[in-house]
Amino acid sequence: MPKGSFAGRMGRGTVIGLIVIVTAFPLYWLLISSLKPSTRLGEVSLIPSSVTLGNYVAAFDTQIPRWMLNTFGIALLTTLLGVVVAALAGFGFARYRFRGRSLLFGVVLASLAIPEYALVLPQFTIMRQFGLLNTWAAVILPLAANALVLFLLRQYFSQLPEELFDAARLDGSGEFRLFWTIAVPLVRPGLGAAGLLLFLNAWNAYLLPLVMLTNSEQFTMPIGLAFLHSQLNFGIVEKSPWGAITAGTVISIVPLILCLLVMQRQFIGSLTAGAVKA
Amino acid sequence: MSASGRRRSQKYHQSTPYLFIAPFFLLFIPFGAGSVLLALGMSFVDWPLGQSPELVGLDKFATVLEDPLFGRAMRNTLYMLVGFLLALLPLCLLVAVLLKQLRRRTANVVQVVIFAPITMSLIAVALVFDLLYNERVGFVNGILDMIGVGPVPFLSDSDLAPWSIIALRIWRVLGYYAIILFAGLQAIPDEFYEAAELDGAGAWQRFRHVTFPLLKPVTMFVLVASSIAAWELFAEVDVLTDGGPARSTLTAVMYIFGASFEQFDLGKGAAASVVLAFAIIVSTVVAHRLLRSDDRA
Repeated sequence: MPKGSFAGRMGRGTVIGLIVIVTAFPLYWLLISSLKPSTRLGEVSLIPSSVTLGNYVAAFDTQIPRWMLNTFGIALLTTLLGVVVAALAGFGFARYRFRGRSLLFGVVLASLAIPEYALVLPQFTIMRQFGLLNTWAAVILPLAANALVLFLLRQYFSQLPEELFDAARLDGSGEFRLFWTIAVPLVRPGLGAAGLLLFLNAWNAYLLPLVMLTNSEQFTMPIGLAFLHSQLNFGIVEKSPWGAITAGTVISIVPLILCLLVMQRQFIGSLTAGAVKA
Repeated sequence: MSASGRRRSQKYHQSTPYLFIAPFFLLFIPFGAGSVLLALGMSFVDWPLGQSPELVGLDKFATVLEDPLFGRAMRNTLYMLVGFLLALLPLCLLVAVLLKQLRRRTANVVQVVIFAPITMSLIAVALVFDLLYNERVGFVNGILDMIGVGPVPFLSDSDLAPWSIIALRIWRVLGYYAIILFAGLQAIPDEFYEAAELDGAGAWQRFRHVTFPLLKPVTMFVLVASSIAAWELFAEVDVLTDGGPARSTLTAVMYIFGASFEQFDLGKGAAASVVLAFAIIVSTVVAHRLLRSDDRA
C-alpha cells in the first residue's frame, strides 16, 4: 500500500529506482558490450555507435556450442535424476513409519550443515577410482543427491491427508501406484520448485565441474568462460577473446533469465520457498 | 479387515518404505555421508595425487595450522565475510521494507528485476563486473577517464580488491535475500502496525518493536545462508584476482584447491577443508546465539 507524505513517497521511489538501475545496468552493459566490435569494447557510450553480431559468430568458432550442450545435458539429467530420487524418498519418509526412519532422515538433515566444497575432494577420489573423471556422470551423480530437495519434497508429501491413500488401498492399489497416480499429481508445485532448484544449482556449479572436468571438450559454460577469461592475461590484443567472452556470457545467462521473465511469481516463489521452508 | 487378513496397522509390505528411499540413498551414501567420512579419513593421511595414501595422524593438520598462508587465507575470508554481511544485511532489510510500501504491480516488476542476478553463475557475474572494473576496457574507469580521474585499480590494489569482490557478491544476492525478507514481512499482520501507530510509535519504533522481532527467523536464515556462502568464496576470486594482489584475496577454499590440485597433496587439502568446515559450523552456532541473546535484551 502506498502511504505517507508526498516527500516520503518520492524518497522511497528514488531509492527503489536507484536499486533497480544499479541491478539492471551491469546486465545492459554486458548486452551492449557483446554487440560492439571488439576494438570498441572500451568505448563509454550508453548507446553503441555500431552494432554487430560478430562476437556471437566468433563465439561459435570456439568450443562454446559444445560447452552449452554439456551444461544443458548435465543440468537436465541432474534435475531428472534428482527429482525422481528425492520424490520417491520424500514420499517414503513422509508416508511410512519404519525402523531407522528418524536416524536416516536425521543423517540427511545433518548433511545440510556440511559445506559442499568439503565434499568435492572425496567425491573427486571416488570418481577417479571408478574412472569417471571427465564424464557428465562425475558432476551429475553428486549434484543429484540433494538433501535440501528431499527435505522440501517430504514437506509437500506429508501435507496430503491419509484418507486419500486409504480409499485407494481398499480398491486394491499397490503402494507405487498410490505414489504415482495420487501423490505425485498433487505435489506438482513442489516438484517444479525442486526441479528448478536442482537445475539452477547444476547450471551454475563451478568448483565441482572444475575438479571433475579437465578436458576442455567436457567443460560446462562457467568453466569454459573462466578458461577463456584466463587467456586474456596472455595479452595478445588482436586475438583477445573478449568478444567470445561477452557473447558467451550472454548466451549462458539467457535461458534462466527468460524462465524468470516468463514465469515471474512462480519462478521466484519456487526458489525462495525452498529457502524459507528449510 | 480384508480377506487376506492384513491388520489395520499393516497396510503395506514391510520392505515397501525401504524401496522408496533406496534410490536416494544409493547416491547419498557415497556422495553425501560417505564423502563426509572420507574427507575426515583423508585428513589423516599423506596422499600425493596419483600415489597411494599413507597414515600420518595429525601431521597434515599441523602443516595446515602452522602454514602462515592458511592463516592469511582464513583471515582474508573472514574479513570479506564481515564486510559482506555488514553491507548486505541493512541493505536487504531496507529493500524489503521499501518493497512492502510499493503498489503490488510495481513491487512485482521490481522483484523480477532484482531477482535476475541470482539466476546467474558466479562466473558470469564476475565477468560482467570485469566489464565495469577492468583498467583497460572497464566502464567505470572509462567514465573516470572522461573527467580526468583514475584509473582506479579495482582489482589490482590490495586494499581495494577485497571490496570490489564484496560489491559484486552483494550485487548478485541483494535482490534474492530482500525478496525472502519481503515474504517474511508480508506474513506480519497489518493490525500490529496499526496498534503500534495508535500507541504513537514512529517509523523507527515500529521497525524496532514490530518488524524486527517478528522477522527474526527469516533474518536468521539470511544471516546463516549468506555467511556460509561467504565462507566458501572461491569462483569470483579465482577468475578475477587469482587470490592477488599480494594475496589480499586469497580465500580458504582457494587454499584448499591449491593444496589438492596444484601441489597435489590431497591430505593437506582435506585437513584444511576439515578446519574450514569446523569454522563454518562454529560461526553458524555463534550466529544463532547472537540473535537469541538479543531476545532477552
